[in-house]
Amino acid sequence: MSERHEPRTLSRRMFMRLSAFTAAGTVLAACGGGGTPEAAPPAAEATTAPAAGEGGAAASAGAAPSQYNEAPMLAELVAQGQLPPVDERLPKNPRVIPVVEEIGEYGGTWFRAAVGPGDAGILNSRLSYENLVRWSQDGSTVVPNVAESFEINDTATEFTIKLREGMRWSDGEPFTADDFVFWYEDVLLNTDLTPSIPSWMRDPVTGEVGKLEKIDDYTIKFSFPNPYGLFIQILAGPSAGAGGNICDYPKHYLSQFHPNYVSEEELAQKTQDAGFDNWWELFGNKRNWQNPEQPHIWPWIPTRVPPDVPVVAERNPYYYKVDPEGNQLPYLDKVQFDIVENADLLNLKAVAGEIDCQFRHILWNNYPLFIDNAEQGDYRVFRWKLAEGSNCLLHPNMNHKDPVLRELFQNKNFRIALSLGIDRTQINELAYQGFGQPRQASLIPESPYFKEEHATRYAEHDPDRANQLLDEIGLTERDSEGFRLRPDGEPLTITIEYAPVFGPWRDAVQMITDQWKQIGIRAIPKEEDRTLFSQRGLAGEEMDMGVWIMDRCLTPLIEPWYFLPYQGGTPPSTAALWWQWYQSRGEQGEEPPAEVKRQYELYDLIKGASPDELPALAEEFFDNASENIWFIGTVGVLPHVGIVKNNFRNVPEEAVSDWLQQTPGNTNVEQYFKRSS
Amino acid sequence: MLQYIVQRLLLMVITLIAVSIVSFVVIELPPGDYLTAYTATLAASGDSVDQAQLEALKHRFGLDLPLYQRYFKWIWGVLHGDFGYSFGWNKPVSELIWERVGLTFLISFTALIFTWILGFVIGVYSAVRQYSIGDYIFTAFSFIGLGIPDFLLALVLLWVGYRYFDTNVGGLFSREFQTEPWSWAKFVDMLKHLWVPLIILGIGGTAGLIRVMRANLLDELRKPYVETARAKGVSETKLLLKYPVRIALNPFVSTAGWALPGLINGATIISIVLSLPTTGPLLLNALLVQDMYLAASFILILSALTVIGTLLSDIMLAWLDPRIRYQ
Repeated sequence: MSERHEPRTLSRRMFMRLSAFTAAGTVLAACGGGGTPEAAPPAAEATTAPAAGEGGAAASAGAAPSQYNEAPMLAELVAQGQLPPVDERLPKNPRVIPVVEEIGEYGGTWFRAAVGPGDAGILNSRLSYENLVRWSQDGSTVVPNVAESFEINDTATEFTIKLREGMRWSDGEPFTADDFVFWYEDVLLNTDLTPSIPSWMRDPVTGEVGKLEKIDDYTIKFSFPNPYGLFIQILAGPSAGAGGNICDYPKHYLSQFHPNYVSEEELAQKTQDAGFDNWWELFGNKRNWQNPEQPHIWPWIPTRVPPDVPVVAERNPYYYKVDPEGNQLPYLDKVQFDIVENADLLNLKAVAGEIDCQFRHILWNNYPLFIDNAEQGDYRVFRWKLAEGSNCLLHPNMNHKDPVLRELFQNKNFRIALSLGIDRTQINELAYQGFGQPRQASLIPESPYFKEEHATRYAEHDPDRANQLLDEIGLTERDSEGFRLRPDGEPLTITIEYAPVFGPWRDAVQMITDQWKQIGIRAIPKEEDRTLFSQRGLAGEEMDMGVWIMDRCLTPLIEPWYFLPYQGGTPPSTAALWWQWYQSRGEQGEEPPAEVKRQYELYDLIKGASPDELPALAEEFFDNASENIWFIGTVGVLPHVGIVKNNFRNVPEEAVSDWLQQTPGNTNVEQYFKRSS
Repeated sequence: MLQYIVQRLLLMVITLIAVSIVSFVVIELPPGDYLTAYTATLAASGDSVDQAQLEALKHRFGLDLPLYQRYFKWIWGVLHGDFGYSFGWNKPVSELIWERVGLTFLISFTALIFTWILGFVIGVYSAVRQYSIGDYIFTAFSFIGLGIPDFLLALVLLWVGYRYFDTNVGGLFSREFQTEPWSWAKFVDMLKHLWVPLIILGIGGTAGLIRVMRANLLDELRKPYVETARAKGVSETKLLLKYPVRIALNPFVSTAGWALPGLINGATIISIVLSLPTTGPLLLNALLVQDMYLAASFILILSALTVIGTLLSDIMLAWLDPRIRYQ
């Protein structure tokens, strides 16, 4: 293999640190009683990043398997002549996936449950984490996945991606650069299909759309006018993956429904026959996980889709990955989703042992119940870690339309006082049953940019110091009940709005309300429907303080919404006007103070930074965020509880769970298997 | 009579037009649309969707069109038998609705018959043997039946079923039959799961009917014509069935009209608790996520069934009770 040179994906320092990681054996996936698997990826695999990122399997040179093995059900089809032999179905250089515990056995169905039909849509995201590149399991680096290798030029403006020769769609058609060109020219740049081009495909400075060129059949190149080092991380995440995965546009199939390839009359006829008014409705209906005809490159292809229940996906005979011994993955024949109407019933099903392996919708507050029934239900209870810096995160609105509140929220000492007035230990014990960790709004310890001081800063409960700060601000007047008055003589009240979506927020907010009485702050909890909450959060003028989750805390740079004043719906806006000012380059909105401007500037620099420059910039960025406490954290790093049947193997006992990592996609679901005996 | 029916049919059409407009507008009233609900649902499991993808979806679903345009588009389709498209299921509405109507009808109809037979028999018995031991037992039982909320009963029975009868949790079929085509074994398997919703649906309704039947019949039995008949030596059975029971049946028949939409949409709460693949949860969810065409079509169909059912029950009442006039 000629392309075994190392692309510039890692700084030297990072590489050293990674190697240390591996040596120490602390990489997340090396666990589960099996220790480090004796994986020997064949030399054919041009692994371009250190194997540490590949789940801890130390890469040692091994002989390439001369031949691959396949599942019995496929071998049968080959024998009947309905399918080409496995060597022809795999690319020349299949991706080798290390196993967590042991080499698996073929067969079996992975039984899961989903709340409503749309929820089975994780087939389209978390269970098909087939991006060009992937996050390594510890979130420290980006490794090739669908791509065989990738290369970034010195200025971080060009990203050359090499595809796997001989790779195929699930219907056997070749998977080539043309499919990406189709996505780029006929989907992304088509205003009917993409009315607004997503920001991740735009230049970080000028905002113009990036380019995608085909170099040859197996090479594509993305290019941007300005440095955009973060782009490779974005390719690894849900922006370029999940429901709109750029590796999920089979040209040979989808071009049948596209005006650039089909005559107008024919397309109009097809549209009408399917009962649609416009061609793009038909196209959207065809490029959809609920369309069993669409080819994919996923481990399992949906075969039985809503409204039929249960929802079923079956193995892809052309899946491009093998285990270290050359067995074609996935091990499991099928994934089957039972559709239930509510999460409680799903949890009862888990207790009854009717679910093989599932973390989604398994509620941590049922943990004792799961433990009690583990033996009877024949399952293990796992505790992965949610990448939540804080489960209940307060968003003080620094661009509030009320000038008095605005001034208070913009005052750093006021925010510090509010933070010191919260007894996080009590909230953790009572609202979170002791499952979380009392901490400030900060990254999770597994993140490469984490610092202990960020987690503890202003996170102690110190009402005296808080009262002193509030007095110093000048909030010395109090009403008859002992609550402080605003500078204009009105009672100071902060309404905390929340939509109880992700956690025991009702209890947590009530406790914060009680705790703030000690520092003379009157808070009023206000529960809302989440749609209304998003709308009010987006408007960004009326909400005093919103509550949302602080997720995405393992690899935070792609969407660092909780580290800079921002305008969003969920999460609610904390600085609608400042953000508009930043987005419009000073044309609209309101000019922010110096420390906020610096944060925006750092964010710009981070987006463009090459891998060498990134760590220093990121460090300043997170230091700045911690210093300024734009958000107030409470309790975080909750466990992501999961149920895994005893005969369901190769599930790592420890992992970090987040949408950006497409968990459980980042734990390599394709190597999960069911032990038959 | 015929004139009366024609008049009623005309009124029905006007009612349905009004219902279609109102339901469409009401679904539109809460803030946001299907896509905001969709993003919120995604967010609830830590997933998210890009703003640009949302724009594309908005465009694809035609949610960027004004409300009146969408309404006329939809109602025009309905007149041609096309109920539009469900965003959430990515399927034509008609495919979804009729799929589930069958099972719902089966459950509800069985429950209804079960309820009526029990209610009728026990009601008559309780009235004729007032203050007997049996009457007290049935009375106690029916008060309990009326008092326990059915979702609670559903939860308890779910647990009992899982704990002591080893039936799997929720749904109508065991795992091995879920993807199988219909067969005798599958039918038997379904019956194993069906008793839970039947008991829950039956208990509340039966209790109510027992009380109504008993009270009505008691009123009727004290009327002078019963005394007269008895004095003339009519046998007790004939005396009971000839008039008093017929009159006392009035509540059964007058509520039959409501039973028809109930048959299609029965037991939403129970279906949600037990995760039965029936229409109730489908409608509820469509309303929650503002799946416009699905919800509006559903409401329209249910309303149509209600007005038809009411007409049928009025006609039956007229036939049953000679005191009713067509005015």
